[in-house]
This record gives sequence, C-alpha cells and structure tokens, in this order.
Amino acid sequence: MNSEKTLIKLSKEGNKNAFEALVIKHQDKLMGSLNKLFKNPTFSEDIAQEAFIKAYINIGSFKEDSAFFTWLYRIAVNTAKNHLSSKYNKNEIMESEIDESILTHIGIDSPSPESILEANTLRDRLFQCLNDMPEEIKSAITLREFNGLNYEEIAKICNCPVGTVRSRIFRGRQLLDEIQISINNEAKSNNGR
Amino acid sequence: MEDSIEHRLSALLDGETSEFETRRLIEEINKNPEIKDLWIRMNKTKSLLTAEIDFSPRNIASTVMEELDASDIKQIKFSKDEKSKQLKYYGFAFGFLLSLGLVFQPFIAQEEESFQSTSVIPALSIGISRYHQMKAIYKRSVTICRVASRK
Repeated sequence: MNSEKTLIKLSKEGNKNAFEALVIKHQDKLMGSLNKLFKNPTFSEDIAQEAFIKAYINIGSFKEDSAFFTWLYRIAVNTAKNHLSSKYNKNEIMESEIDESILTHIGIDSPSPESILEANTLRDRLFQCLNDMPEEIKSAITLREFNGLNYEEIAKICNCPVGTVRSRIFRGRQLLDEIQISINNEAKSNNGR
Repeated sequence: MEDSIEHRLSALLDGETSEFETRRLIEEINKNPEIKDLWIRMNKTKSLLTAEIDFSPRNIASTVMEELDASDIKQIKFSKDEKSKQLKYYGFAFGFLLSLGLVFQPFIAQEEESFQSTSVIPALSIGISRYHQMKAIYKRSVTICRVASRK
C-alpha cells in the first residue's frame, strides 16, 4: 500500500499523529499554491490552517478517487471563497465579483523580504549541493524529485536494485539536510547578534 | 539489517513504505522531536527544490494540531452512516412496492376472472392498461427513493 494511502486510512480512523504527518507533508505546497492565487501570505496561512481542520473533520468523505492534495486544495479554495463572500455580503457586493476583485479586497501583501531571501538562499545552496553530489546520487534525486518517478522506475533506468535507489536517495537527502541545518544555524547566530 | 529511521523517513517522503513501516514511522515522529524536525526539514527541502514555495512559510502543523486538540474536534463518520441510510431507503422502496402489490392483488384477480368470462380483446386491453399503471408507479417510486437517498 502507498504510504500516503496508509496515512489517510489511519487519519480516517482518528489517528491524529498520522494526520499531522499529512499536514507537514502538504502544508508548504498548499500555502505556496494559495499564495500564488491570493498574493497574501498571512491570508494563505490562515486559510491553509482552516482547510486542514476541515479536512480532518471531513476526511471520512474523501473517497480517494483523486489525490489527497487535490481534495485539500478544493477545500482551501472554497474556504477562501466563503471568507470573501461573507466580507462581500457585509459590503453588499455581488458574489459574482469575488473572483475578479479578490485581490483588491484582501489586499496584496507580499511575503516579507527576509522570508523571500531566506527561501532563495536556501534554494540556491540546495541546488549547489545537488550539483556537487556524486553522479549516481544526483541522478536518483533528480529522477525522483523533478521527474516524479517511483523507486522501481528509477531502479530500471539506473540498472540497479530498488534498495540501492532507496539508499542513494536517502544519502542525497542527508547531504541536502546538512545544508538546511547549517543555514538554520547561521540564521540563529545572526538573530542572536 | 534494518534501515535506520532516517532512511525509512526518506522512503516515507516518497510514498515508498509499507503500511507496517508507515505506522511505526508515525509513532516515531510523534514521540521523537528530533525525528519530527527531520521530517519537517525533509518536506521543506522537497518543497524548495520543486519550487512549490517561493517564500519561507511558517510550520502550521503544530497550530493545526493544537486547534484540533483544544476544541476536541470530532470527525464526521461518513461511510457507515451513508450505508445505513442507503439500506434504509432500499428497505423503504421494497416495502412500498410490496404494499402496492398487495393493494392491487384483488384487482388483478378480478381481471383474471373477467378474462375468463369475457372476450379476449377487452381483457387484454385491461391487462395492458394495468401493466402501464404498475410500470408508472414503479418508476415513480424508484425516482422518489433516488431523490430521498441523495438528500
């Protein structure tokens, strides 16, 4: 069984730890997608939070005929629309205008320059690290992260056992994690000054 | 030799763990804060590499879980309720059809008698009209049941 299906199954049984693992897995993608739509990180975070709570309550209705993220994203967009409709109702504005004037009403609030800089610095360093990796690790990570292939497909392409692919990807992630830890430590020491 | 927890966490991130492994990893993430931090960092690295985020959002997982715990939010149970609801409506439909059959039984018996006593053509026409009536009632009851089950 796919790991995500197991997480969903456990969440449906009321296992909050499994649901937390799902939240951690999807939170960045959800907030990133919402921010692309609403151009307001604070609003996107609030909506993402509410969407996760609604998802937990209604996970029993998730029929698994689509990806979990698709279902979650739909909840988030509907939640955002409901928030905006209530605002519009108070201001007596037509609901049909929601999509058009969405940005003018919640306001464009770009992410803070620090937040963008932090993300960009980390991304640059991660890509640098990826480029410096041994070829077999780099190709395993690239095929997994950018081409979305599963371990079996990567094993066929690299002509090696699935276990080796699993180890190579893990090794690559260890190297990437070291970068993230060093950046976090740098940020902490900068804040401490 | 069993893979390390970090090794298996990487496989979990890619959706490549068995149900048993996933259950054990969830327990581990929950009880070991270092493993939880690693899980958060692994997901963030993935999001940054695949450009899912263009800024550094805060970790909302803890807030969501606090909210779920604090307000003691309960999940809505769908599957069992839906099934019992469907069964209830099917039962209702069956009962309705059965009662219709019992109501019309004497008329059908009468028609059979009239069929024996009168000529073939009038008896046939009565039979056909009864058949159409029954068909219309059946269709209507099926529609009612469908609408009711949708609600």
